[in-house]
Amino acid sequence: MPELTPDELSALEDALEGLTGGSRPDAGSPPVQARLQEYDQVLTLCRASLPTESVPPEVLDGVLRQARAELDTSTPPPREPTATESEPRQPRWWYPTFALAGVGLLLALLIWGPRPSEKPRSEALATAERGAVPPLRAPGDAAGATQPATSAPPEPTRGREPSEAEAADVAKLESVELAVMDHAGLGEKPAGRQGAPDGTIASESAASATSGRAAQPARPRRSFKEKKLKSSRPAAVDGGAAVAGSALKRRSKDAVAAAAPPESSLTAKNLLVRAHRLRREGRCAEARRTYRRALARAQSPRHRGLAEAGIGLCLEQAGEPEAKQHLGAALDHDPTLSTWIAAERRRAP
Amino acid sequence: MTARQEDLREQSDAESREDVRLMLAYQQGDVTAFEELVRRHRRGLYNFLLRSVASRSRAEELLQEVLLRVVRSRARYQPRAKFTTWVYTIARNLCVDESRRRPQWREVSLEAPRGRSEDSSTSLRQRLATSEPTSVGPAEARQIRERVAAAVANLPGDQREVFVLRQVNELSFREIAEIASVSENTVKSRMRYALEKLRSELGELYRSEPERDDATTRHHA
Repeated sequence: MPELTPDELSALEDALEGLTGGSRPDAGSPPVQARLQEYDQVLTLCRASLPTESVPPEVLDGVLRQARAELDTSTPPPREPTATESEPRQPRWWYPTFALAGVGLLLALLIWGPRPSEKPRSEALATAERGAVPPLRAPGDAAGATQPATSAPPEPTRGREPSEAEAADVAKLESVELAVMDHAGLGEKPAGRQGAPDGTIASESAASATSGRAAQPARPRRSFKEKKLKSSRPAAVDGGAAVAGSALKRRSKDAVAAAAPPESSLTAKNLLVRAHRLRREGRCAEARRTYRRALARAQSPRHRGLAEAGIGLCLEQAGEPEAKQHLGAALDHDPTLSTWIAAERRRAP
Repeated sequence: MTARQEDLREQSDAESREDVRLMLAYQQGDVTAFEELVRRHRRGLYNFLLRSVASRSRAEELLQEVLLRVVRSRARYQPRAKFTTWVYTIARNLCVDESRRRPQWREVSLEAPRGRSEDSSTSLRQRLATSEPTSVGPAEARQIRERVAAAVANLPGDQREVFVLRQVNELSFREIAEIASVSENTVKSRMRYALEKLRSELGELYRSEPERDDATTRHHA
């Protein structure tokens, strides 16, 4: 086949749109026509060898359900907060509440206790050592304890019970796993580019990119919990709970994990993390139980979807036909979970 | 422009207007309009994604993602461009993201099927063109399909997307240029490069023996 001149190449390219496979190109010089003829043969071969395929029927069920669901809301629905966006708020509201309640209880003991004038501090310590009532004041407040109660402003980080510190320790461990999960893109929706000629999708892309940056809570959440740990641990130890504090100090991560707080105190997200870990370790029966508990507690569609997906993946590993139902339910809750499910399938043992 | 091309363009414009009408109807709350849009475009989108990522399961996931993005953009949709261009732009961008995330998925070997059907003096194209069931056996046909699919899959990404959008989805070069954010001339060049690669890769499948010998001699010369 002879080489074509630049003009011929240009003519060749201009004639390409007329090629449909099976056509008889008549444009240009003989070399161009010969080349076009050959391209046409290539197109015919490709058309014969690459027939188009149909979309499997069930693939778009979730999308159509989502399309109907979107219409149920008359106004454009706000973007569903992802797990990583919504979760950090929970401890931020709960911890100060617990701390305030603890401080309030202490103040009540100091003010309306049996003998407020007789060294309430030492009595509180003695009580704490007997284990009857956990100490609720940090040593830094010891001096302040003799002062009027109103002079001590309530601080969220003070007066923590050992069990809470323990829970925070476990939560810290789990937050590390959550950070790993987030890093793997499991807690966030995929932020693909969506350039569009009309600009609408481009703006959505920009919005999702912004929210994606804002929705990287791993570092803030960890630092928040570390801060809690730092402030709560000394308070617990120096505040008189020497036994509990030192015991906590001695604990390794495994021991802490083993002595994790009861599941009744865990959030859906913590349960999901635990269940994911169990499933990846191959402990599918335990994982499924944990997923079901998470499902019972889950508030957001994303968490419900993750729980259903986890159960589905466990069943799939066991070759159970029910797996499909759960995976379908997961996609009903959150259709973007398909990516996560695919990733989990790839890492399945 | 030939009469056939004009017909095609008119047909394409009518379909485009209908797409916009359906999308606006969905925007107003008519879910059947969206279902109709899905019905019209699912096959083309799926095949584009399938040829782009070479994995059925991944193509299905990406198809879901494309349509979900359309759903989520319902409220903000404005008919400034053709619906087809818009939706294929989303699909194309997802494929680009996918190839960046997993650059290894496109390693397809061309070695296995090569050279199995060279013992015949009749060109494959002639045999494919004939409708006789005995002209190409099932095993040979499967090998040919694999070979062609592998050759398309091994095209560079920018050439492959132009080739698939043109050949499988039958989009115009202008539409492809909008989707890929390049000029129409660039699209033409990419199409030519793609055809040139396929020609050298698959030429032996459609040339008869004498043509092949000639081509080989010229190539060595």
